[in-house]
Amino acid sequence: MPLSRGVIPIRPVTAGAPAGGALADAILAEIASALHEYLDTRQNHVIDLTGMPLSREDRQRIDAYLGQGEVSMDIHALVHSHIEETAYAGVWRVRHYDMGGGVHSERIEIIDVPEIVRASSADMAHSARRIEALRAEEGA
Amino acid sequence: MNGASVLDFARGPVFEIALAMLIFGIAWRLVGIFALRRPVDYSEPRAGTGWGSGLRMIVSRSWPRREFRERVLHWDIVSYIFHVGYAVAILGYVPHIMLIRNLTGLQWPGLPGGVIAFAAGLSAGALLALLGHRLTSPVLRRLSNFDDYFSWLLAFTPLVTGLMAYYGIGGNYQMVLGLHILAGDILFAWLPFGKIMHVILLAFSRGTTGAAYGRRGAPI
Amino acid sequence: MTDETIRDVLTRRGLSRRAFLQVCASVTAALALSPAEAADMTKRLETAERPTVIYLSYQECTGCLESLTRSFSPGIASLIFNDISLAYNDTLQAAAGQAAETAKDTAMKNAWGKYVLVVDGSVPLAQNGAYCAVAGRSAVSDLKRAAGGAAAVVAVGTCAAFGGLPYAAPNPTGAVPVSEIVRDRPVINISGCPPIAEVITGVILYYTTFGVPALDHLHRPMNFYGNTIHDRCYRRPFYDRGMFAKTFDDEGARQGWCLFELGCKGPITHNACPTTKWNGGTSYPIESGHPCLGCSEPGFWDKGGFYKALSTPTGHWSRTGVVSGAVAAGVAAGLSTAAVARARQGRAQKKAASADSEPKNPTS
Ligand code: SF4
Repeated sequence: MPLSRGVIPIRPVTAGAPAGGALADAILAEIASALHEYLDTRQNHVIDLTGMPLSREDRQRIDAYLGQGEVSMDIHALVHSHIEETAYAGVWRVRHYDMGGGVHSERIEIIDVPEIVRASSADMAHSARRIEALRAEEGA
Repeated sequence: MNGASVLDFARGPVFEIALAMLIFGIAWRLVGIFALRRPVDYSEPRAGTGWGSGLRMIVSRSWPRREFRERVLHWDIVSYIFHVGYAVAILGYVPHIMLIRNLTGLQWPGLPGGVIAFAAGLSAGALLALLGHRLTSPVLRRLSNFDDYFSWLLAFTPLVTGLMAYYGIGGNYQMVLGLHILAGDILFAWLPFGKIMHVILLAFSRGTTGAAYGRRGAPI
Repeated sequence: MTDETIRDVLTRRGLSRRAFLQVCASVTAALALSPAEAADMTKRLETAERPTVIYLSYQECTGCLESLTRSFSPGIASLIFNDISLAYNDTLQAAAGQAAETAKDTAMKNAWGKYVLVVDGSVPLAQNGAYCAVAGRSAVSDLKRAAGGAAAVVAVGTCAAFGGLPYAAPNPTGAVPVSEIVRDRPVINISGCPPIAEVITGVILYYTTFGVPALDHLHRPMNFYGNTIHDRCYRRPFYDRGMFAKTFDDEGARQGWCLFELGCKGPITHNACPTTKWNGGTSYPIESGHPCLGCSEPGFWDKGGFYKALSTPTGHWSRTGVVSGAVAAGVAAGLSTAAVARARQGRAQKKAASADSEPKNPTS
């Protein structure tokens, strides 16, 4: 038990915080129309949840509606990113974590595969050079 | 002057000046009235000393007599809506209670913002209606002087600016809040010098009249 | 060196495009850009030249730099700042004395006319600027010289933006904000005591891709300073319902009610704390149970007290003096008016009495 709990009685409120779930509905509507848009024009769409004043209820509703899909991935680049498909194909949740493990960016992406997952041509060219260098070293 | 400096100005020097004027004015008028010579009444009192009648009139004059009701009651009700709404907004809103606590040390629980906004809105509407009445009724128009219109304006501005601040109308919140406090300061400062002094004199004037009538045995 | 792009810097550090996209996600989230703007910014950042930042400090406490470099290390903000853009900083260098001055001159010469000059701290003008001097040169002349080669000046922290603590009454050093001295370049104010790290780096990257962002009347970027704390505060429903904590340890405080009565300046303070938050998104002061001090607003030191409710007077003069003076003056005025009136009453009474006692003329 952390010291503060003993010294200062902390009684967290778990339910009944005054807030509605209006934003969650708006986000769901946005996702639906973004899916249509993607099918028609191949234009991807990103909903950045980071700066949104979402209430706990909003979050619960978003989580409940979107559920979990078939794919989940982790990226270990500069920071850790976790990507998972929701119960709806082409609707992804992308979370970037900071070094302390907190979420510093959270977004919903509507696209076939989130852009960050794809290996870029520049990085692939770099890989080719590295493999060639390795082989040259081994061959020598 | 930008919003921040208007706000600082209104909360700082202007508030103190307004408070000084309010206290000075009230002291001046009350002492000035009470230190006057009382007219000597040589007649025999018909019914007691009149104290009871004085107190009774403070209440009885709060509602029109039956004979007048048909003609004035609706306007009296509008006036009540204004006064009660105003009082709810002043005494029920927590930021205002903070001010009262700061001045007097007294405090009481406040009301939700929505209730205050509703009361203030009703009050502002009633005040506008009363102004319309004053401007259209030929009798009232003749009776009104600068004091009436000026006092109306000073009562109205804090209401409107307060509602604007509450709903975030008018863009710069600091400016709107600053103007609201400034309007309140000016209302404070003017209170004892014009007709708004009825807030305090009401009880005294009704009481004195009631006592005099009572002595003569008139029905209160 | 100056032709290097931001991508190049990351590649040189062995980081992939995914890392770059992570940086972009972080920055565009902090800037609260619309999806289209965010996509545009990512595209531009890919080819954008790395910005050159020269960071100078005057009358300050280094809290701003601490915020930037140590908030959550090695976070994205500090990566952008340290590795991508910083060309010179007084505090973060091993060099000292003459070597440091030479490094500064070289950094400025290499990017003359193009660099972003970041300044923290106010600039004192009293005593010919003697209160703050670097290498024998006063802060004011140093700043003027450095600003001469800057494309834009970013005033970081409330001291640089509005004067801050040194500017507080009675301002003994004659401190002024940067904008009072630099008048011929765009000055972007990033106020806060200190400002949020992500806001500083976000603005620098925004500037390199899109130029000067939209600013409010105090020259602060609207992306971050467009809303008040109160607008976005999660305790707002309690404010609206009239539920306030009265002390720091009462039931209301435990239940997370609004902190207005404890002096919260959230309603008049513009900053990104409720959304961007601090320490890598951990929380912000109100979330930790303390009222907002209003640190990103001009003159926040002189607003009558951090724990005084916003609706109460700042206490400009002594309250007892004001009240007792007014009572005394009012009573005196009342008594003298009454004396005049009594004298008049007396004369009128005497006249009436003598008129009564005089025998009336026989009429017929
Ligand atoms: S805690 Fe401060 S910012 Fe939050 S609602 Fe209350 S007054 Fe507004």
